[in-house]
Amino acid sequence: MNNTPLIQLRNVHRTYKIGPDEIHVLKGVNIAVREGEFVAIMGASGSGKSTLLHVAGALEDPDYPPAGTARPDDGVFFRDQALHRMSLFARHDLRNRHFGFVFQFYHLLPELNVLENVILPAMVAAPFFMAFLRARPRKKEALELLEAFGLSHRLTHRPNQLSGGERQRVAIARALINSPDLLLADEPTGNLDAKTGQSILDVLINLHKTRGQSILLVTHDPHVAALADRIVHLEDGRIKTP
Amino acid sequence: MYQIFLTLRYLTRKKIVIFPILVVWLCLMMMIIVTSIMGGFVDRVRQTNRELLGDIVISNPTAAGWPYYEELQDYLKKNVPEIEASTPVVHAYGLMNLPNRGANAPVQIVGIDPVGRSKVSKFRENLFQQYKSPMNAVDDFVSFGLPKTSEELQKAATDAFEHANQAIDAAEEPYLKARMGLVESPPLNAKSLFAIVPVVLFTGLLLLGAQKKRSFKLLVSAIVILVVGGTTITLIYFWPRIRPHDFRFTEDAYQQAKVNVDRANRTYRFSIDLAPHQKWNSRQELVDALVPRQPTFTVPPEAAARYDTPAAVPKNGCIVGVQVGLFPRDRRGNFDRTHRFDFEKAIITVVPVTSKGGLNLGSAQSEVFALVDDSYTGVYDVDSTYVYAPLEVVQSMAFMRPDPSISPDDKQNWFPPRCNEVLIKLKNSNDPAGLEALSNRIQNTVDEFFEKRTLERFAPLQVETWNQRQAKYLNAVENEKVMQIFILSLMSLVVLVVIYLIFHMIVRDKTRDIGIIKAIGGSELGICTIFLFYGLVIGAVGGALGVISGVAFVTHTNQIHEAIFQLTGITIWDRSVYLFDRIPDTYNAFEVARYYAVSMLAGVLGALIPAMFAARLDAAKAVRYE
Ligand SMILES: Nc1ncnc2c1ncn2[C@@H]1O[C@H](COP(=O)(O)OP(=O)(O)OP(=O)(O)O)[C@@H](O)[C@H]1O
Ligand SMILES: [Mg+2]
Repeated sequence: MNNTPLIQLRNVHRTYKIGPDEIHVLKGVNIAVREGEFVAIMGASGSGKSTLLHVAGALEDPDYPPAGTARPDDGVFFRDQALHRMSLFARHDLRNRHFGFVFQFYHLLPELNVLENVILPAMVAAPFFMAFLRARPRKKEALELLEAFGLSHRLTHRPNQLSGGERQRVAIARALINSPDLLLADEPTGNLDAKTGQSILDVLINLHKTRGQSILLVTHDPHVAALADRIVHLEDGRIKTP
Repeated sequence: MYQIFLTLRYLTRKKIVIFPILVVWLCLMMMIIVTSIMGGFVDRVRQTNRELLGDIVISNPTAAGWPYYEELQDYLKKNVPEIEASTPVVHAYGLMNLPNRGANAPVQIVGIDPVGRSKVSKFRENLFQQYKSPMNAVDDFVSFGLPKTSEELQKAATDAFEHANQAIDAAEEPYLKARMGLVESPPLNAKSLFAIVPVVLFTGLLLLGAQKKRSFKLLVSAIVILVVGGTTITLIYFWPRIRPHDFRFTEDAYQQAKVNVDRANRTYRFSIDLAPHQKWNSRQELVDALVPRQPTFTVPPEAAARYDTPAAVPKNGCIVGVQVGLFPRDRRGNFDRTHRFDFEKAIITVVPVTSKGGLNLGSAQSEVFALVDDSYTGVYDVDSTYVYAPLEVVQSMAFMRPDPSISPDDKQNWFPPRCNEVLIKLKNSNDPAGLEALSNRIQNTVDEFFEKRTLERFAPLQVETWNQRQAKYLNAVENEKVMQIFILSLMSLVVLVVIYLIFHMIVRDKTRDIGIIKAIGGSELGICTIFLFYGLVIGAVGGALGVISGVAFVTHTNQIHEAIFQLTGITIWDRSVYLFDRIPDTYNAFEVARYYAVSMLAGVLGALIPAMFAARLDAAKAVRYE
């Protein structure tokens, strides 16, 4: 295991503007996830956990520091590459092939069936005219993933025909199809009953254990957080390490 | 490529796309129909004008005309080898009086050489007695089957005439009864049962199914089928029965039968004219035997039957425009010739114009003619006012030719004959650019010719192509077309707005999906492409439907028009009013292709702003909530 963190946030700020008001949500967050690590983020509702996850996953940009005050080491880094120095294309590629998102509300595309939902990131990954060619071998992977998640009998079903647990498993399969370096999960069990939630957690733990999947997971639930290698607390826009 | 995939999924799984497709479809269909019919109309007017005028017209703007036209024709023939034929025309104004009918009408008397005129225009083909009628007979003979002997053809023509006569008897009675409001509803026939039974059965089955399965959908389908099927059946089978007192249907059938009988009668008479004991092998043989090769004003010997004494038979014949008022016209555009004119007497009075252009009222000349034929050009202005007569006769009446008794040596009283126009036909007339160049050359040649002669007393000559000659009228029609296109463009704007609004809705509805696609690596451009492609497909699909239905409508306009009449008794395109007896039913493939391209463009343009909006959506915000 080398020493460079997979993803690192250094002194990251994020402010939202609502009209004249500013909400300073992240106030200099420092956090790193190493290769193969499973990190849980806990914090009160509204403390900025989702924001942190989105910033880490290149889905939204942190504040640019005011001109002149920027320190060269500040920002979000993926394997020591500064996200803010990357081209737009590279950032799309990062989200596509290096990160996998799992959301609390599953967020599957309702017009696509299970298999199509899972395979979509693979299609996005391919250049324009190669998509169908490249997606074909990925279909095998998708089928394997869905098989592993016990969904092989529901391939052609649409998301609204599935239960919450099933949908979340499809969402995890979608996040995994491009074998991402980091899985970013935002309260993946938050919308599920205890038993179903546990089955989802089992899936994640299993991935972490067998494949060494790096995971950054946001949760309210201390029991869930307890499964992680490391727990960080987000309080008042900063990481509080106990 | 995932963009295409997603577009296809959205297309097949979101019902809202039906609306923009429907709008594009209807709009394009309307556009094709309206412009095709308008365009067809302009094309016909053009075509007819050209057939009327030949390629190039030499004229001067006064009614007095100009001299030396024969020498000019020779000179042009020598110097412009492209000229195939030319013919002089005299226009005079006057009155035609038909004493047998007690009718008179203001007319334009056109003096022509019928043979020469036929060489530059379709004069011969427009004549009824000397061309169309024998041609109809030839067609009928051909339809009886060839080869046949004269006797066999005569027998077949007799049978056909008899048949047509029976048909008119059958058609006349209901017509007369209907006129008096005496007709009861005709009984329902087996055909109507064929339509009713399946509708009733199908509705019943659906209702049963709805009851059993407690399915609301089946119930609704049953109601829809009942309403749609019921309305259709009512329209097709019952409407004419609901309105039996409306004699338009019976009148139509009666008029049709009358036209048929008239034609059968003429064909029969031509069959008698065929040389006996001869075998007719081909259409051409019949044409050669029956259709006069050259049109003529000659009054035939059988005209004597109409006049009391042989001396009373007019020396000259004349040919009248078909719309001068001799024949009533039915809704199909057929002229009712049952009251044929058979060389009847026409007294024509010309108001002569002096060589200075003034009116010479004191010397108005009357001349008696026999009507020998009628001409149908399709241009109302011409058909309703022109009376053709021999060139020299009209010249004399209009004082454009000296009395034959005056010798050319009599410098005091003799003057060279004058005409108003010379019409020219070119050897190769299908090249519009060449036509104009040639017209300029002819103008130069004409100017050259008159340099050597004194023309001071006459206004200078103008050489115009048929197109320039009719430009004013055609421009008006074409302006109307431009107007239409302008209105249709406004309509396209509506289409654009509809597509925009629907895409706006779709994008708002799909905000979360857009966030998700971004989260899995979709780029701004990629997302933009999804919606642009979506718009393109809507334009392409709606456009294709529009093209198919529009073209189908245009090519079947006349059938649809007839069907509407049969269903409702309404005549939209009244042939007794319009110039042409068919609604234009051709389309311009290039124009249609252009409209199709425009519809695809409209799809893309309508989607453009919403697509850009979608591309710029904040993904993080979109995925935050359920
Ligand atoms: N787009 C936005 N515009 C304005 N304010 C925002 C926006 N997104 C988030 N916020 C605010 O930022 C704060 C942090 O939100 P965030 O969703 O990150 O919290 P959270 O810890 O994930 O909360 P929860 O546990 O309820 O999911 C909240 O006060 C929220 O109202
Ligand atoms: Mg949250």
